[in-house]
Amino acid sequence: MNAPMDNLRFGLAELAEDVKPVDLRDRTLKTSRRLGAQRAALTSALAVTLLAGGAGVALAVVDRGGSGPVVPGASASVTASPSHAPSPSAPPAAAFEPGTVYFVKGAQSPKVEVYRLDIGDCDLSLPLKCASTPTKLRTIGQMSDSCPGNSVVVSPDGRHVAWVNGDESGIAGDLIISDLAGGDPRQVEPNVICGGDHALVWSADSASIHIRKMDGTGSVGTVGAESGVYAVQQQKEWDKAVAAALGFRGTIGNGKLTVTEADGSDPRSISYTDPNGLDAVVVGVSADGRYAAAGRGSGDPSRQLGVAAVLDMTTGKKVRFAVGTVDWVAFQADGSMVVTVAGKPDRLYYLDAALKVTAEVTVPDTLGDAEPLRHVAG
Amino acid sequence: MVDSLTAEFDSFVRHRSPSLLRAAYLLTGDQHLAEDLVQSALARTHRSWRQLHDSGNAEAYTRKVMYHLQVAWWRRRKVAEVLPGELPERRARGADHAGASALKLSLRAALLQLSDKQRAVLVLRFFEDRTEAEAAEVLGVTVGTVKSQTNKALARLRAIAPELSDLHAANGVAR
Repeated sequence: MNAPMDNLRFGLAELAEDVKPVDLRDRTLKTSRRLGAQRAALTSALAVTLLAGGAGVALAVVDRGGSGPVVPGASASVTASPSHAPSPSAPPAAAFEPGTVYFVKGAQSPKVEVYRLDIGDCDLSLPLKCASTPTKLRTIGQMSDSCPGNSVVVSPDGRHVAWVNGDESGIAGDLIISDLAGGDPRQVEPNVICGGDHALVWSADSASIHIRKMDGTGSVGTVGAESGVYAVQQQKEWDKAVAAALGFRGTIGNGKLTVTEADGSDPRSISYTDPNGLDAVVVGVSADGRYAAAGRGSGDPSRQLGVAAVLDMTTGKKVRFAVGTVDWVAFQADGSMVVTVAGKPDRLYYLDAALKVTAEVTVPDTLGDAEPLRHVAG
Repeated sequence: MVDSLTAEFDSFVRHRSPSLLRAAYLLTGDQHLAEDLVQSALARTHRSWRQLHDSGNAEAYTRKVMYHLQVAWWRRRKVAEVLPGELPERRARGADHAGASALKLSLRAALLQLSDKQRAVLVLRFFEDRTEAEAAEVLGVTVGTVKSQTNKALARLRAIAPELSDLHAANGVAR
């Protein structure tokens, strides 16, 4: 009697024999040279941007394992923040704590741009209506691997940004950390995987980043934001650290969405299937655990920042918001949330814990096609 | 030294290409796409050959790159654009050559109905004979994802190609 699945194994082996052997040596070397030329062109283009005094940040190729400034003198255009406080005469009853929202623009393009949106100048109405000011913080060049666009993350304290510059593998590369207040980007660790929904995860205290390595051993670990030192962790220890950083554990599968506390306690499940039947992840859970945000399903390792639905864990139903269909949400520690809405790229809404709108922020056209990355409380 | 490295890379390509092409063919379902995929993975291996040569991880690296490239976003629509989505006409099962060929065609077409990730998981688990943990490591996902993708892939195969039932009748056994 055959072992389980032996027939499938046999069928696959038979089918695989249909491929004709070919000599790939010359084609491989040609592709390798093309990849090398693309990388050189990218570096040159960014160097020009740097010399021109723009906001771009050029990253010169440095020795693997090297740490420290990558391009001496690289400058980030960081401007003084406008006042974060609403107008002094703003109604005190509105539970509105303006913060800062970070956006990524052109995540799949040759130039990935990271923006900060400062919120201010609110009028006296209820809900508040506020203007905002975008500031481009970084321009990161990327090749077709989309590594930087898929991995770029802002730290919870809004002080640092990190991303992976793809290497020849196209799926991993050098981890770069940069201070958003200025200073040179630092290339701190090679062979860091850039795919997936959580390629880089900042610790809650912004002191370190949890990463996965493409080093043949599949190691996982943590890189210190200041020291740049990589410490290998056991998978379980790493899983625990990532859950603590995210503030929850969550899974979507087999028709269920399940969330637990970061330590795995208090599991709660509701029925949920991605609208398109694709793999999806839980991208956020409210501070009190009542709401969970299901990410958009994906059939590949690309990151999905937006949400397909916000679900009420007490009823199992999709939450209906007065402002429209929420397509991005940042849950706040006080139970409030910041959301964007499908079809309204020029608006950002602050909602209180009862889902009432406390502020409506006008987002400039510059960020019309950008995606929110993180909200940092004011 | 350079000549030596070049010769060793040439030897690596010559000896490992057939095996890589077989897996790539199952992943893509097409000779030319399989060649493109292996060529892309080998080119990236070549860019890092000096380090990989020293570490002795060249083949593992190449395979990992190949699977990621196939599953990754910048290639995901290529198969759908090129290959027919229709299953071949179903035929009665039989032990004869024609029957075996029909089953093979059915399997190829059925594989192409799966998502890239589901196909990758099946190839890793049942062609390359990797454990769930090894498959998870290659794809950079959790073991849970490998399990769920395997279950989904097998269920989908059963639904879209019942004539293949004898190929996937038993449940997968986790290792």
